[in-house]
Formats: sequence, C-alpha cells, structure tokens
Amino acid sequence: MAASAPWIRAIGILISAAALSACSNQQIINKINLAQTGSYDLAGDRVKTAVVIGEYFKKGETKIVLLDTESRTAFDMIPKLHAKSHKTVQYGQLRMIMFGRSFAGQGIGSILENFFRDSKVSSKLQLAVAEGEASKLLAATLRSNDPLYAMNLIEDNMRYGNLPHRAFQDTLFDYFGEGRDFYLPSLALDRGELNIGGIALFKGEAYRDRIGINEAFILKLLVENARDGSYTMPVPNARPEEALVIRCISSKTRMRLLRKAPVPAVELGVKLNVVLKDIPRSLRVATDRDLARLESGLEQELKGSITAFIARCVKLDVDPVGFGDFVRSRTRGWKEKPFYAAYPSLRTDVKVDLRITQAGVGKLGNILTR
Amino acid sequence: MTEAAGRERYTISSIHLLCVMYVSIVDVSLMGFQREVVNDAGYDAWMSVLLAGLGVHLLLRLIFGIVSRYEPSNATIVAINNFCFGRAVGSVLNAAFMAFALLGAFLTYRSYLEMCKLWIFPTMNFWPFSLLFLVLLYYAVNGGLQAVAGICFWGLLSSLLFVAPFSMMLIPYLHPVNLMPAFDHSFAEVMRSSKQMAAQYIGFEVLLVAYPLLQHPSSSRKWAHAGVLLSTCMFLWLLLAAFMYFSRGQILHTIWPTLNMISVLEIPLMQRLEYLILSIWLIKILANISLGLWAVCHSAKLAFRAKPRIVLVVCLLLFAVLQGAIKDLNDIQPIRTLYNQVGLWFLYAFIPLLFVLTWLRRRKRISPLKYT
Repeated sequence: MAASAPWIRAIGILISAAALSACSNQQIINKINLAQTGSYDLAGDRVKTAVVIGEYFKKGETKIVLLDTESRTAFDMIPKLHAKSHKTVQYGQLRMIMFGRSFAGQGIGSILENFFRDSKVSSKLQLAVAEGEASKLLAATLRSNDPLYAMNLIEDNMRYGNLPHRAFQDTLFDYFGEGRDFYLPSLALDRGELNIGGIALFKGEAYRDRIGINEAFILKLLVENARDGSYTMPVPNARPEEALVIRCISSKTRMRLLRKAPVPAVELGVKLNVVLKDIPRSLRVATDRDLARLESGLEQELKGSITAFIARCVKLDVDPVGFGDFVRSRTRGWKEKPFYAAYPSLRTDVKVDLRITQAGVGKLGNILTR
Repeated sequence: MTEAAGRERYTISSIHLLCVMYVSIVDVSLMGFQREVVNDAGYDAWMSVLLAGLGVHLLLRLIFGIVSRYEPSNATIVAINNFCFGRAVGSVLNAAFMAFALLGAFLTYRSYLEMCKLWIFPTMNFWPFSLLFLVLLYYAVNGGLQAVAGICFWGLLSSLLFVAPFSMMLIPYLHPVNLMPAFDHSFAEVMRSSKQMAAQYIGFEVLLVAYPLLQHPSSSRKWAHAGVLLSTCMFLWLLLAAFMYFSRGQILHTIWPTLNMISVLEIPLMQRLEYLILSIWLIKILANISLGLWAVCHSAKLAFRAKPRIVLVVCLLLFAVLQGAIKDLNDIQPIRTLYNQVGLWFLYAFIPLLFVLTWLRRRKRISPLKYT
C-alpha cells in the first residue's frame, strides 16, 4: 500500500468523503419541530394525545406550541402529529410524558414497553399522572414559554422536595421486575398553575390510588437515602391543630428480614437527621431533656405515619417500597405469587431514630443546638 | 537483509499478542451477551463467565502445548491438520477452518451494521457506509499481521478508554440487591449458561494461525493469558453492571443491555452517549473483523498457495453480496447459533483431539513433516 500512486490515494479520499457525507443524516433545529413534552388522555373510547413543541428561531428565542390529535389507538401519536405540522416532528428530545388519570387507570404498560423498545426515547424521560385531563395541564404550562416546564418542576421536586428520584429507567425497573410496583409523580392544577399533587401508585400497569405530597415524603424516606424533603406533622403532646415541619437533611433506611414464611415479617430501621423548620411558639425546648423528649415524640409520630403508610399500601395491594424484591433477595427460590398471596398479612416492625441537628440560625427560646 | 531482520518485518511483539487476544474474543457480543447467559442461570450467570474464562485458559494451555511440539516456523493449524490427518483430509479441514473464520468475521460485520441501523440511523441507506468499511478492511488486512495487530492495539485502547470508564459512571444507577441471593440455581443450569458464555469467547483460535509470527513464541504465553484474563474481566464487569442495572424481567426485554445502560448517561455537550460509544466501537469491530479475515487469507496462502490479496478481495466481495441477503436481526440469529455450535465443537472437541494426536505422534518419535 505504501507504494500506491498519488492518484489512487486521491480517489480513496474522495470516495471516503462522499461516503461519509452520505452517512450524515442531519436535522437542523429550526427546520424541525422538537416534541419535548407529551400527554395521553382518554376521550370517550378514543385516545387524545398532545405534545408541546418548542419552535426555535434564533438563539434564546423560543415559541412553544401545543399540538393535539385524537385517534383510536395510543400508538400513532407521532404520525398523526406529523400530518398536523408543517415541519417534521422529531421526538428524540422527548423528556416528559403525562398521562390523564382515566388513561392511567386503563394501564400504561404497552406505552412503557413501546418507549423502551425505541432507542430514540431517553432513559431519563420523566413520567407523571395528571389529576384529571393531562392535555389541560399541558396547556397551562404554555404561559411559561418553556417546553420542559413540567419536567423541570418534577426534577426540582426530586432534588429539593418530597418526590423520590425517579426517571423512565427506574419505572421500567419496577414495571418489569418482580416484587415491585412502580409509582409516578401526580400533577394537579392549583389556581391555574401546575403543581405536584403527590404520588400516583400503580398496581401492575394500572393506576390504583394517589397519596398526598406530605405522605410522599414517607415513601421517599423508605425507598432512598433522602437528602431533602419536608414533612408536616402534629406537635407531640399538644393540641391536634398545632403542627410543625421537619426538614430532612439526610436519611438511611435499613430493612431486615425477621421471618420469611408463612407470613413475611420485615423490620425497617429508619434513621434521619432533621432540621426543625417551623415550630409553634408553644413548643418549648429549653434543655437537653426537652430536646430528647421532643425527638422521641417525633419518632413515635413518624413511626405511626410510616406504619399507616405501609398499611395503606398493603390494603391497596400495591408494593411501591419493593418489599417483595427485598424478601426475594433474602430467600432462595422466591416466587412472586405466594408472596403476594401472603402480602395482606405482611408484618412490619418500624424503628425510627430521629435526630434534630439544628433549628434555624436564630435562637428560638433556649433551644440547644448540637 | 539478514534473515532475522526479514523476520522482524512480519512478526508481532508479545504485548501486541495481548491486544490480539483481547480483540479476537471481545466482539459485538459485548453489547448483548448478558441476555443470552441470563436465560439459564438467571442472575447467577457471573459464575458462568468465570467458568467459561477458566475453560479458555485451559484451551490456551492446550494450544500452546500443541504448537510447541512443532517447529516454530511451521506451527499453524494448516500444517498441524496436514500432519495429523494427512494431506487430503487435512485440506478439507483447512478449508472448513477458513470458512468458519470467514463466517465469524462476516457475522461481526453484519451485526455491527445492524446495531448502527437500529440505534442511530433507522432510515439510512447502508451501501455508502459499508463500502467505506470494506475499503478500510482491505487496507487493514492487506498490511499483514503487523497492521492488523496495530489496529488491535487501538481497539483495545478504545475499549479501555471509553467503554470501561463510561460504564463506571453507571455505579449510582446500580441495585446490588439484584444479585442476591447468590447460588440460587442448580449446577446444570449454571453449566448450560456457561456453554452460552463459552460461545462468546470464540475467536481466540486465531492464535493457531498467528503463532509462527510471534517474535518470542516462548515468552508470549503469559501475554496471551493476560489477554484472555482482561476479556474475562470486561465480560464479568459488564455482566454484573447489567444485572444490577436491570431488573430480572427487564433484561429479557433488552436486545443490547450494554448499549441500553450507557444510554442513561449524560455528559456535557453529549446527551446520548451511546451514539459516541457505538461510533468509537467501530475501531474495535474493524480490528476484530480484520483479524478474522487475516486468518482466512493467511491460511489460504499456507494451505493452497493462494495469493492473500486475491482471497481478501473475494472475501470482501462475498461480504458485500451476503450483507444484502441478510435482512435483519432475525436472519442473523440462526446463523449465529450455528456458528456458536460449530465453534464450541471446534474449541472443546477438535483442539483436545489435535493435542492428543500430536502427543501420540510424538511418542512414535516421528519428527514433524515440513510443509511450506
């Protein structure tokens, strides 16, 4: 090859260049419609789909448009939207999908599986359930002029709020995996603005029930090492209308299998460091002993909430925490069916170890900081 | 030119042998072998990787045991077949070996094209790309084993620089609890999955062709073993990562678990890392295919005195023709199954047979025949 004549090389380079340019399949941003947020709703016996499209003109200038369409199936969203758009609709940057509650009630398994098969759909896609109609929520985000408004809202609440860190891959993990049920953030409209209403619990592929944003903190505590999130709870040994807010700084939950069969029993050890955010005046914490008493009061309170939350999941026959998966990891020859047959009588023993690390920078009464 | 210097021009150093071994073992299957081994042994399949790796180390000992009994300049599978089975049968076996190596190279080539097609460019016309690829292959293989080993070096480097560190970025997404409880499968299940895993190692038999071209045949053993060990580590890490990343049901729905895992990563300026990985993977695939093609051409030269360049052109034309005949992944799968079957018989039955035959002949004190 070393002795090949220059003209042979030139031809080689030309061929390579031609071939390489033929390989490029370029799509320029202002020549396409980039679908970034989408929604699925039921409309009678038909499916209504919508996408928010960001039209990019110049740097920093965006106009966002809502395109919607109706069809007999949920699968032809993109081709139907193509027919409505003067530029090609590309969904490689699809980052957020909302399901209307009635649509989610019918099951979203086939949509999850189709998205999973499609290499264009990112593993970081966010999914959510809308209280009511998803396309209405989508329309409410148009004012923000941000095609990813809903995604940013959710991801922000995962980082700093009560939502556990989840994305499409985690949902698939739970959906396909044994001994788990997936859950999605639940979105609602509050005075015309989009807000996080809580968490929607699923059984198999279908929506089962939702929990409020306060309870979502309990779920976050159980499924991950929560870095942030706050929980409103009644003040121990006080009148019931008095409430305080704890903010979690760090947490860790350990599960221990007490008994495998016939009735599985699991011990949950929840450790958390909290900051007392908002305390009623009546709460006096003057000495170390007061602080210890407050801590144990909060522990009791939290233990009650966690037990109640698990009882609710068991009653709904959903397993968002993944007790099944946990028992599987400790049991040889674990089978899903017998476990969930025994699930209603699942015993849990909750132990809470709560430490108050700080209460704001100002002095509150004589509160002692550690 | 002295004879030593002349030899120097065609031989490869021991460290290149490491690259050659690694590249010959790790091919496109690295992107999706997890799904194949999980069928039988579930999430205990990591044992299969270790067992299969151990098997390859043993085979490597056998191969070195075989070739070291022949004159170094003549210790190729071509000469050994002719010596053990006679000229006529030996020629048939040599032709079969070449067909097998060619099929392996073609499968890698076609699978890679399919992967690009499914992941990045579903609507692209593949002729321009494959034409360029074939020209590249001609250029690489025509340079002889030294050129191929050079590309193997870059292939190894691309693996170590890209696939390994990026897969480390997956650690936050892993669920170690997936691996428990360990040893939840029977011995038979683990053995069945080891068989699947052993098929992923097919390719290192290229050593049987390249051995005479090693600079230091005796000291290269440890480098060959190091190459196999490195591939075992790579397989093991990507297997464990996939097992911890996907839940049991999910991995069965995934065609290429490795690519799928990498797609969750994002780095600044690149949202879809798997596109980058798949493009860089081209070097690795190029090295793997050229190695197979080189083995075919070199054996053809030794066995039938064919001109390597002509054999190469015929092979590449065959690639171009066959590539159109195979429509999609469903067409590739049965061929791969066949290839794996034949490969396993070749590795685990034929090589031990060669070893025994070589050993018997030696006891009869017949000195090796010389073929050129």
